[in-house]
Amino acid sequence: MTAYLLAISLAGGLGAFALAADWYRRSLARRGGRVLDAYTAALLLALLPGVVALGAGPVVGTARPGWLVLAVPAGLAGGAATRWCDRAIIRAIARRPSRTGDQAAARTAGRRSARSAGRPARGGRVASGAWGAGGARGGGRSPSRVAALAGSADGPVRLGPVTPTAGALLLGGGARREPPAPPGTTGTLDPRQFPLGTVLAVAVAEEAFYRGVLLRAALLPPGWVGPALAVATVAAFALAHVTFGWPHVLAKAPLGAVAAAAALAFGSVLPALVAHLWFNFSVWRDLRAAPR
Amino acid sequence: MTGLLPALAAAVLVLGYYGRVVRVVGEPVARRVLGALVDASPAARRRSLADLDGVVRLLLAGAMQAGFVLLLVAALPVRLADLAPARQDGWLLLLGVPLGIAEAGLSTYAAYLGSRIAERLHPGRTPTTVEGWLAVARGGWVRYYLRTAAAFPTWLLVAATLLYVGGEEVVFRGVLLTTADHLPAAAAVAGSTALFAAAQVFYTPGWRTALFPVLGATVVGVVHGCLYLAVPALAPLIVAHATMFLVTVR
Repeated sequence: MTAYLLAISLAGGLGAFALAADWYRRSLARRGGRVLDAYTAALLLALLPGVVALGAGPVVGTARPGWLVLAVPAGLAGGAATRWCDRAIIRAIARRPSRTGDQAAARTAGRRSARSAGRPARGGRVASGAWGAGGARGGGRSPSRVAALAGSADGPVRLGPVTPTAGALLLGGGARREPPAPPGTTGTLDPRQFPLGTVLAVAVAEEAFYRGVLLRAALLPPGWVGPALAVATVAAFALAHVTFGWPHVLAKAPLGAVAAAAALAFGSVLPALVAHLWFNFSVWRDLRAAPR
Repeated sequence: MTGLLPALAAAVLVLGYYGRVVRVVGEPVARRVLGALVDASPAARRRSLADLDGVVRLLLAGAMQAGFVLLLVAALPVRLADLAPARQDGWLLLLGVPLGIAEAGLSTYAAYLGSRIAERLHPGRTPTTVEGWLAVARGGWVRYYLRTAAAFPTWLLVAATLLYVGGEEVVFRGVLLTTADHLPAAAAVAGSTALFAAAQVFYTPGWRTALFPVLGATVVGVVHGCLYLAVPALAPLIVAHATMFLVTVR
């Protein structure tokens, strides 16, 4: 039974946003709920069987109770450092000239035309428009989970400046993305989706799952497999932010790495939790201060 | 090497069955059954041919797979009694439901990630909207399931799903992992998962259509493979697989 509980926890935690997005799309959005609140609830539900399987307690790796005195200052320092990395990475990517899907599609179509001289040329826009116009099955069918993740049906789930909005997705004809946010601003982020309580609750739930359960489970196999899986948990944490856009996957990797390292060094999720709370508080503060 | 032979034989039989036999035998049988059904049943004639074709193919796939299981048991050093233990743990059966829901979330997330990566790697050659991806994904064998879901009672859909995924669990976890018990656990799980994912590809028109089923099969293959090695019980895995399918494919 322990194996089953652990499997439910790990699969459910890693897929929590998908389940939350589906719940949000089907009922929560109509009641004014937030997708991040659904995500927090799904994560907390998923970690329960993991806690039963692995045992309660914040111990990760080797317990070092004497170090916990330094857990809070270490966590604050880690949170500040990783938030600095986050901003730097997002700004650096925002400053790069963006390659839109239309341009890429046109390049692909151009290469095909060069290879097949004599055949009628097909523009990249037409090709990608055909893909984009592909419709789901008929009216009345419930929106699927994949559609829910991208927020592409009932309205925008606008989570970040580089995530396609629902309107852009429905238009098709290439991946229309909103222009990157100018440095120092938050672009099109809607602060109403990110009240302080929600933002901090997400940090608690994510640390409880990613460091409290996933990292502990990753260290169970013997030999080199455990450390390799521990590194994979950092990648999993970063990839969990893909709905914000690929730049955010890269930008969240330092937080995942520092949180995992802190949890292992201190033998507790406490410093990782403090770091993540500070990080999310900083994001919330920037959201409120940013020009829109 | 002796320990490897049953696993290799099982792999060859599985690839041969899903890659060849299903098409060569299943296609003409499905047409005959459909024709006989339409001839014999006035109720069937009131339904669309596409809907009837979907449910006939879905049920036939499950039935053929059950026959394939018997062939595997006869040809390989696997006992039916080992695959169906006398006692089932009721708690594990119940845990199959939350496991299936969790796998539904993880496989959906994997599909989303896969589609975003594909868009990056092949700009202009992949759908650029979620609706486009869903339309492409429904171009494979999933369409038979969807037609059955749309046109027939829920009990028939659930029964057909249990029959088919039950057979898949017996083949890809029960038989394959039993024949591979001399191999390291990671190799056995990786091998059975690779074969399970390959079986999803055979009847799809292209990699874009196969992407979602392959990613889902990878999730289920890894999770169920590890669980079967830890707890050799197929019934909870069948419950989980059916739950995941019924929740995800809509």
